[in-house]
Amino acid sequence: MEQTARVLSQLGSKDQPSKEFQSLVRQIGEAKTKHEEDRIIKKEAALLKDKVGGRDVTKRQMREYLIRLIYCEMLGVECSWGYIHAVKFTQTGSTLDKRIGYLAASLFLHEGHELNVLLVATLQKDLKSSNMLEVSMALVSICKLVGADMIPPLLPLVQDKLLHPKQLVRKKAVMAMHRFLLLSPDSISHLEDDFRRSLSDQDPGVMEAALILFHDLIKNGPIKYKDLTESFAMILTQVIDRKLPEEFNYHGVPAPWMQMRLLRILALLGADDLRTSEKIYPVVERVIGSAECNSDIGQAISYECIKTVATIYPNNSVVSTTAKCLSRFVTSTNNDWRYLGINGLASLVQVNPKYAQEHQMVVIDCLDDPDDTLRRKTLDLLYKMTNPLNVVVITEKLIGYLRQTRDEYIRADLVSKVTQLAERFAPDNIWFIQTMNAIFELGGNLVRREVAHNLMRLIAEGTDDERTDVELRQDAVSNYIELLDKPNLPDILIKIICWVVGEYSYVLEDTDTEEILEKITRLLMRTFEDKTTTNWVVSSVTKLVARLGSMPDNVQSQVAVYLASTDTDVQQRCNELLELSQNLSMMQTVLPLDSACEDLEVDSSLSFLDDFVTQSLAQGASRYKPPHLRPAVLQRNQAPQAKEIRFEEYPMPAPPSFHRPAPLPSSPSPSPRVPRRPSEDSPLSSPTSARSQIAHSVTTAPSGSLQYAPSELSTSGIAVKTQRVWGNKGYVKEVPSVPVATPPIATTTTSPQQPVTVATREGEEGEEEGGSERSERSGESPSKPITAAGPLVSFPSMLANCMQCENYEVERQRHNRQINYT
Amino acid sequence: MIRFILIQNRAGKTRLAKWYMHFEDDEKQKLIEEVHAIVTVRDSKHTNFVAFRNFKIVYRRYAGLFFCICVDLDDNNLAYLEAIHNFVEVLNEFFHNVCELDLVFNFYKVYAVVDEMFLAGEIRETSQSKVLTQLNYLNTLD
Repeated sequence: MEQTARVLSQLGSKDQPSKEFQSLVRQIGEAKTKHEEDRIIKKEAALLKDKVGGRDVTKRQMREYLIRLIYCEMLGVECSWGYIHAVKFTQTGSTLDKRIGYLAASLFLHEGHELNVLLVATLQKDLKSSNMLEVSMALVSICKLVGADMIPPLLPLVQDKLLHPKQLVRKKAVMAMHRFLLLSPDSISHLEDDFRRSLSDQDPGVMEAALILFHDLIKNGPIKYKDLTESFAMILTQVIDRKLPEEFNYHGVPAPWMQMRLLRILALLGADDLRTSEKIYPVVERVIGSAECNSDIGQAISYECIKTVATIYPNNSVVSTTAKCLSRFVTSTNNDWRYLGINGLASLVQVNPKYAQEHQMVVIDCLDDPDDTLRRKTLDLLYKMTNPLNVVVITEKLIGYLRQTRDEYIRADLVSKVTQLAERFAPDNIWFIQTMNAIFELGGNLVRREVAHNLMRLIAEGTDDERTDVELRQDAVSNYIELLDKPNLPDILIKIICWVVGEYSYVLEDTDTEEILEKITRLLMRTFEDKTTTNWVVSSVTKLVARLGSMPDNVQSQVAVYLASTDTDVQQRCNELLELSQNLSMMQTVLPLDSACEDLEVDSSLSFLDDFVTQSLAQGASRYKPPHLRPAVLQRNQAPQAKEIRFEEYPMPAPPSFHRPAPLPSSPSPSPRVPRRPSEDSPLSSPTSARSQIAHSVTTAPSGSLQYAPSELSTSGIAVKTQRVWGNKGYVKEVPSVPVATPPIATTTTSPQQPVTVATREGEEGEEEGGSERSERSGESPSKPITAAGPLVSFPSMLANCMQCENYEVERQRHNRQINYT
Repeated sequence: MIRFILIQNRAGKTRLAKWYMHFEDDEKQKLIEEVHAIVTVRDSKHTNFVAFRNFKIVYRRYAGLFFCICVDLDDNNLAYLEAIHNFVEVLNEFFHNVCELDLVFNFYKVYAVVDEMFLAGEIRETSQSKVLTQLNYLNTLD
């Protein structure tokens, strides 16, 4: 409690959060359970919602409310109604208010949030301001909130700030550029010279930021920047020589993070390139030499060096120096360092496998370490160290780990690793099949389908040696038959088993085909995740029946069940099976043994049916008519063409009433309209096009299809309730006329058959007409007509929202249909 | 690149959450809970890094608070570990022997410190003296 008192007393002076806030925090701190905490926060959120929407809220109070809002959000209660207040706060005059506003905005919003649009103008104004703090705040917010479409208006202003006299501003500007690069690399490709200038900036802080920028630029395309290698090497040398000002030292080490960043850049530049790497060797050696080995930070730099050396073109002396450095990691008692040592080993063995031998014992120890993280990293190392000699042992270890882990990411990773190892280093086929079986069993849904097919092809084609083939198949079949007894096998394994057993069960002379058939039939009763698996099972049953030479009763009844299946493929196969089983000797010719690899000859003229055809024709059946000669089609083609283009003006509409659905004329209900949403245009750029579309649908209202307008208006009422309309003074009551705009957007993109789209041509006139009609009609609607005076702000969010209501279109059609029937 | 910074106490209460990547609100809650579950079970003999989904978490425990930074898999772990330490040293200077309550009652100021030292997912400023000068200046505005 003394601590609380001390902290609270420090809070005493002006403009500290009020008593309410303090008590809130204290309550949360003392809450014993999460449940209680949730309750308190929800209460607070509700309270804030009331207060914040109120009329006379002073700036000071608003500041506090915003801070409390941040607190609520941080503790997990969503307060999206409050975001707009944060945005509005950024637009006020005072710097302090702006600061809170920007802080809140950058915490609440994210890139792509609809309210970002409101911030763009404010950001531009603040970027141009002469107050350095405002510029900085704007830049910081840009780094968090900007999306790719917001870059163009802000880019030139940020570019100016690259040359600002204050280094703080320059630094932030560079970071903003970095953010732009990550979002859309093309937008800043013309600013290369500016970046190079920032690199050689006087202030090392700006230079460091430029390094980050270059790191990502180089990641995208190293070739262009190879000429900068020497500059980077020189900078690194200067850093080690302690040429930078004192303040960059961290516990005695000069600018460690900068060193690490430079090392990574050099690694990217020198990869696979001997000449560039030659420039890098001396400086890397120096860095290794000067890094202190007792502190964490020194080791961090060493580790980075190891990674760099492993990436660039190998040079023996440098690599051996690095290896010595590495042994310090691996042999230490600090778990962190051992972990990094394992990592470093993994990258070094790619270069030269002999280093792994030295530290073998340590690696084996790490495998059994109680720390899970270390164990996983060691597995990673083992994977990289695999060669044909140790592949069996290593795969065993990996599979063992796969058996006991639950984490999905690790499992997917391990499955792919083992598959790769097996495919690359398998000592013989039998081992390969066994390993793949284990993998399928443990992680079947994570394996790619091609792997299964490869396996099956391997068994089918085999090698040139007949005897090993037979052995292979025998082994495979006996394994699979055993596996059949296990419950819950993954689908992909079932498929393989069925196919192999179906094709090759004959190689095992001592098994009872009837038993196998029994087991496979039992599989039929399971439902599978993948529907096609049933097909495989049925095919397998077919082959086994052919081989057996008789059709047992239970098989018959099972298959008959599937005859009624909704899947046509399964039905067809079952039918085939049942038909064929009537004539078993033919079945055996049709499904010969060991013919998986033979090609099928197909007689495409179906000449074997000729007798049947001549017979039927003689009995009076009609000849085949190709489609274009059939009577139904002929009639349709002679029907009158679609309605012609109408050139006369539509008559003036009679004002219908709003919310009563008008009785429909006899015109058919609207054919399924494809609600193509104009989602390609960003809401910002399409208000004009949207408005012209609006006008059309309104214009078409009077010309028949009366069902459109009133029902839209009435159903639009449904959609309206969720929208919010912003005005100068905060919330404004719902405006039914406003969203009339939005629904008809779908209708105007209907099929060209209807006269609707004709009006598209007469865009401008339609708008005028539409405006006057609307105001005529808007007897009930409040005073906001949808002309340019309407709040532009409301459009994007509404459009965005409306375009997201998938159900809306369906609802509307259903409503229309209902109206039809009343 | 940093994905998020999280300060939690041993009971799992969030003292600060700064996100450099977009997550939905319910995802954020789940992440917070997962991180808490992973980090509190580890004792001091374990490494300070954990694999987490397809990222990794570099964390350190100071008294009753866990400072966690979630970074990409190929980032240098020790670098971020030291960045955490740097950050804590700055907090210490700024609040004069910082304790958990300082962070609780002045959480908005803590955000300012975070923004000074980390920006757009990267380490921005490492010089403690510079950060402190800037923060004191900002304080005078209040």
